[in-house]
Amino acid sequence: MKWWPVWGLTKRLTERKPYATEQTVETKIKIFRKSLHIYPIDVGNSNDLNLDIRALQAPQYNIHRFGIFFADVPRHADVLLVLGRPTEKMVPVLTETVNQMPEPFSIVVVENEDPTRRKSQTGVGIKSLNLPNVVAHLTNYREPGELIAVLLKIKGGTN
Amino acid sequence: MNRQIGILDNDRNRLLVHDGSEVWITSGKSSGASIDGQLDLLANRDKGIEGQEVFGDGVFDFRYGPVTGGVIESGAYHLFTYGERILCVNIDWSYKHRGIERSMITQSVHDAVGRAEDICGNFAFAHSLAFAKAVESALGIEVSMQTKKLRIIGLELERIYNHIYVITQLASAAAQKVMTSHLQAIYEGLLRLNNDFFGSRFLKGFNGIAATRKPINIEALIHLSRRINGLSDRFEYLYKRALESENFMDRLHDTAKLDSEKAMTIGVTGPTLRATGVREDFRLHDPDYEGLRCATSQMGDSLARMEVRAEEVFGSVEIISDTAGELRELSESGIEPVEHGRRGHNGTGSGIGYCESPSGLLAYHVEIEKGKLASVYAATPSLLGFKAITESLPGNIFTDFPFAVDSFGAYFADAAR
Repeated sequence: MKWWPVWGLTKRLTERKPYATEQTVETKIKIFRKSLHIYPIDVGNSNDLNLDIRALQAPQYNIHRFGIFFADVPRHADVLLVLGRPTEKMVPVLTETVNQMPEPFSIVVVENEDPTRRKSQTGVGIKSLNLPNVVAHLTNYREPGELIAVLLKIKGGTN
Repeated sequence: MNRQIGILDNDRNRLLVHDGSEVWITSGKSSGASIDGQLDLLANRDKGIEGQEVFGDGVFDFRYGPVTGGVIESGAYHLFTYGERILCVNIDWSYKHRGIERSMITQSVHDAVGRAEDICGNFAFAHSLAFAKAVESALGIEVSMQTKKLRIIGLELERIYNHIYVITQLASAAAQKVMTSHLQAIYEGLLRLNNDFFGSRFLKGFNGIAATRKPINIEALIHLSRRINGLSDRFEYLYKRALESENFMDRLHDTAKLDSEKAMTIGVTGPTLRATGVREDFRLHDPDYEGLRCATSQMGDSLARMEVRAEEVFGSVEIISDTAGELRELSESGIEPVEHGRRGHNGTGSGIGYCESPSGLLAYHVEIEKGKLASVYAATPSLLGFKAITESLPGNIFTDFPFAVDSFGAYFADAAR
């Protein structure tokens, strides 16, 4: 067996592909060019979004090379990732979390429900909450590369 | 030993029970009063596990969640402690309750498959499978051999990525940074593999009633075997390395211990039960899983649960390779092409369907009237998994929390529905 870190270095897991999205990102904040701290909040998704966001930490994406980091609390974050469609009980929790964000901040809403099943959706529509600083709303999220592309747009650069 | 997993009416007269090999409905009155505590848990399943408290000098309720870096889902743990040792635990998952079973009522059985998947995204295939089996049982629908084999592949893929996810979480909690990164790479590789072969990273939108919802290229499945074997080899290398790390093993050994008697009383199934030495797996009673090796361990602690999960990863990889080969032979012989799409199922009836999800028994009971759902009950493994957490965590210290909780593979989305 090779020495553990050496074995890892030989794998070259980080992928080199560009991350692009047609998603509109409406932000005028210019101070996140060097680093962007994100905090994901689950407001009632079916848990696949939570696990997909965890996958963002995989070496294939290596998000630290773009200066993107996970924050442990909303107060340390620049971007709040709202994952899913809120349950009624999560609405006040979400509102309070937004209140705790330091200025300036942005909100990205990520939803992945099948659009053909809108009639049977449960929970509260995110637009009815009138959250401030929502810079992007991904309604049919498919994979982490899309989210990286959005975060890079918020940073004001591309890879 | 018969164990209750669901209450089908308000009077607690119709109970969903299992004995480790099959699931059926029985009368509550014949079950006796000794199960009242268990029935209270089932009756309260939209909210969580509450009512336990400890009082004393300096004891306080430390609330962990629903917004914290340590709990990724929207739920809250109430840990009663005087600062270090956990004395008692209540769990509140009402933040996550979405009422999905209720939203399925009046839907056609085909439309409702997608809603079943939405109960818990990382058990999406197991939910769609148990629900589809319940509908097929209710309406007397036959399923082709090829569809059954594809379902085996989907279910085992789900088991593999879930088990790897749990082990990644454990490694991360123990600050095994290098190992965590490599496990995350394997985890991401598995999600990509799901997407490449089934069109969804979490295996959604594939399984349907008596058929697949998407066409599948059987020839491509041979590549799936090759790729999954490659990822399994990488995992095996990492796992052997992990077992050599005394730091890591020390955090898992003797943490959140559960003995077989307690596990059976709680009614928990899956890797948690098998880690206490009980050889129980619903796949053992499924003729499509002939020759299944059932992984068990004896200690009942977080380490034992990780060992069972790792062994199951290797077992599932073998099952996928064998099944993909059999599917190819079936395809080449030209019999029973894989059916996909939806057919009119307008019958009336009721039925039970179940499967061995990555965290244990997942069962559905459905009542159908003219092809539309009149009632749905999902008995999920996470509900009893959380009960096992509340029983095993007291006595452990705060820093044991992630090793204890993650090793059970219980999810708020699954329990709260």
